Amino acid sequence: MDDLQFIKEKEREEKIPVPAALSRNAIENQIAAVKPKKKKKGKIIAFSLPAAAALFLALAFFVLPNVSIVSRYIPKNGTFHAKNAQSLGFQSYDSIAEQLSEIKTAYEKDRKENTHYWLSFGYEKSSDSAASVEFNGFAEEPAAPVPQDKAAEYVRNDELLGVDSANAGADGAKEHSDTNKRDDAVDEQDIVKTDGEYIYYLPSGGTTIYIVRADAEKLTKVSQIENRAEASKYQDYFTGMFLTGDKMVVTGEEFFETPQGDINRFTSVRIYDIADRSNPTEINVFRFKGYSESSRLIGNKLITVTSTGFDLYSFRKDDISTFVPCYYCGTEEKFVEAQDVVLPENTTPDGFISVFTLDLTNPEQTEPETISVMTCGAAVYCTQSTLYVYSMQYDYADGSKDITQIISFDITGEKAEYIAKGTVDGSIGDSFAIDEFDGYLRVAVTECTYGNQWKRVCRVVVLDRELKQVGATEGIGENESVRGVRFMGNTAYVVTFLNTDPLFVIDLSNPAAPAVKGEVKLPGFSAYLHPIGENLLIGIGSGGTETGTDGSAKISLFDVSDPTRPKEVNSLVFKESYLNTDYKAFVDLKDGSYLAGLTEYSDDYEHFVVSLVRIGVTDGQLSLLTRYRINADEYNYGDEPRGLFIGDTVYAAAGTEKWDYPEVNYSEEIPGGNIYVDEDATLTTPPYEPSYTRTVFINAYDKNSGTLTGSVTLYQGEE
Amino acid sequence: MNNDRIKQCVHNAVRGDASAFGELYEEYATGMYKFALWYLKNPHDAEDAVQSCALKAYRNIACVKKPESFRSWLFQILANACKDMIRNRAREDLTVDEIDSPVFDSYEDGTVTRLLSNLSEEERRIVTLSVLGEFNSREISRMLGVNENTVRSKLSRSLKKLRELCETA
Repeated sequence: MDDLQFIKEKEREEKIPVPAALSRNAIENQIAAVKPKKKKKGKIIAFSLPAAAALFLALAFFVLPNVSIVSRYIPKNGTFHAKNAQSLGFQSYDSIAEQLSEIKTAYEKDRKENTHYWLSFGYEKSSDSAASVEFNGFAEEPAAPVPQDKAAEYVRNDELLGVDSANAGADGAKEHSDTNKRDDAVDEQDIVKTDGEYIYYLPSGGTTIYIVRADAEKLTKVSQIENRAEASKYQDYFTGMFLTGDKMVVTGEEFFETPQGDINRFTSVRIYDIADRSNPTEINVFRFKGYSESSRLIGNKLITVTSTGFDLYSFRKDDISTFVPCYYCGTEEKFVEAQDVVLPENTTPDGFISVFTLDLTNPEQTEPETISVMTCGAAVYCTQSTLYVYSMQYDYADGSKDITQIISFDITGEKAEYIAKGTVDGSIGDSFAIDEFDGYLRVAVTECTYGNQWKRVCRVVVLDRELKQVGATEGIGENESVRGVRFMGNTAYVVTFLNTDPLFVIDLSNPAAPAVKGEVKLPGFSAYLHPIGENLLIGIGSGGTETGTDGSAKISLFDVSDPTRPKEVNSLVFKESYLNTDYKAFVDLKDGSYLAGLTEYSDDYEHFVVSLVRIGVTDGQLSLLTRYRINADEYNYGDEPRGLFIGDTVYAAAGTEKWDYPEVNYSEEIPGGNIYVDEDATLTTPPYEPSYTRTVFINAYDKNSGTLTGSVTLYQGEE
Repeated sequence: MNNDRIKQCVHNAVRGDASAFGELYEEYATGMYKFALWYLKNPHDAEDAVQSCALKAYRNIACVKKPESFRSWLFQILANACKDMIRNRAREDLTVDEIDSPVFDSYEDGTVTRLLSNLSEEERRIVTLSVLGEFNSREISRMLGVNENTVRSKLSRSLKKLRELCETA
């Protein structure tokens, strides 16, 4: 356990009573006289986090599992649903409205009758106000018209540097890296891609995609695609991209502010023609209502999943925009057809999961096929034939525990078709913890029950095509949580963690009776497992001792040839470091070696050395082959490097941020500045803010020697 | 309190529902008071800082756009309120040491709150911002106007020191 964690835990045990003057009642009385200010019109801030987290944030990623969830409460009486609920589409918008009205009536009635229950969640102030308190829970604001000017061209190439004269496409490209993905046939969006000739890089902030020609050590910026972050009415940013021949698909998020000051959130899909790499042109743009959950590209079929809120209180029968998700093809507003709206049985309509399928064969003309299911969803897992959207919920109706709802879609046709809805106890913490094989869906869950005794247990559960549970292992790793998971055919490798890292091998050949075959306990834990052939696994994660993690990073090689006795062959430990455990940052160099991102910090925590490390298995042992240093001595925060390769050259796309602090005369106090407290506890104010420079670049290295052979700066400034 | 609930409370509070804000406040009240106490070393000032923070937060609740950042937003306001408090004290010509009295001594031996008195003013503030405020080094650096690397090294040193003290206490 690191010191911060230790102090936090210790501090949590110390209860300091809050004075009566600070009780909720006292504060409510105080604020009763004031009114909140209205929302400011104008610029909406993009909610993007800088990609590279600060030191302790980065550490926190190791301590906590990376969970992507939407949570919601389940009403006491199960669900509010219409008597004749159908899992198929509706006849007309009127019939949707009719069913929703019926549900709304039942819902309001229950709230009046069970005020005590609602009160216990703080949903109601008191019983007599039940009818008057507006319940706007989980609401997404109603749709706003898209400004006409949004259809304008977004591409700007005013900062072209050294335009390459040979604008040939990616023909004759050398062997190059691919995005590390779940299924080779299902492409996943990423922030860095290559076609063997060009590198496409979207640094954090999501404002610009750089297209760079990469010819071994010679790197040339060819063009860039910008979004229009300066527009005042809304802000949008790119989240990822796909390459398909001479087309680039860019996904993003956009915010609109309505005249009432409400914010609408849309997922954007833009298609660019990049046949001329020096002059990419936008050929089509789509906007789908809702948060962008994820996109997948299967052949020429782009699948985009969005989720948006729905609430019964904003619902109005006569206003279709309050109960059907809209989308835009260019500037034309459309609504999901009534036949494509699905309300599964026993489901409280509290959101929409929408799946938009675009055929990219003819991107100028294409229109999305749509389907919307009236429930919540957050995370996506997609095979070539089935799409799963899942989210965690808190089930208070049944003894306070976490459950996960899974919705599945058949995506083999032009349009996604709803298959089933199911639930499992526990949460699915990692995108590798859900996997389909041989018609069965297997999930590794961390079950958590609250109440007087908080209890946690891990398990692998098997579900059939209808998402009904057919089998489950016994509880493994009591009070631990699932960290790294890898399913390989009929075998699952599951890493759970509390203080040490047990790697469990689970046999799934009998779906009805999955069983633990073997386990190995090790210090530290692996957050990402990558298979090498059938008998070896590489684990990327944290090192540690018997009592927990110790701040070191660790890459392990596991031998799983005997499932009853998995063992760690050897490991590479980097002291005071962390590894990038994002699976997309792990690169297969296709020669038996792999790239991983490593950040090491010095004893005084003042210097960082950031590098890509090349690892490989030689003579049955894991070894460190090459180290590609991103920055010679000091690395300020920025974008963690992402590696790729073309031929014999390894490239690292990264960003650094540099803060310069001016010399300060602390005896001089300047009003309104920051307060600086020096060692003697005298209070002074520094005269200026530190200056800040951000640099985005791509470096080229010789694969075998690790020598830096070239570099291109893509951006430098005070962004 | 989950994000949906925070979102709903913010939504209602923006429309002037004081009890919705009360619910949000209640969730963080204990943490806020402890934060102010650690930061200011004085229960009276801590009380004032939390009160002024609550008022400011309610006035500006419409600025909250994303429920997941609510906590961080709230503690940012609180940190500013604490800094204002120190500034006011400084203007009144009282140094922090004069007013803090042996507050921490009244807490049990071996508690982090008690052991904080072994740190310098700056170290204590960095630790407070990190442990209770959950801010990262960069944010702390901006808030205190101290070099980020200095924050990082002081934080690690202070935490190590505190831990040793806890373990030996």
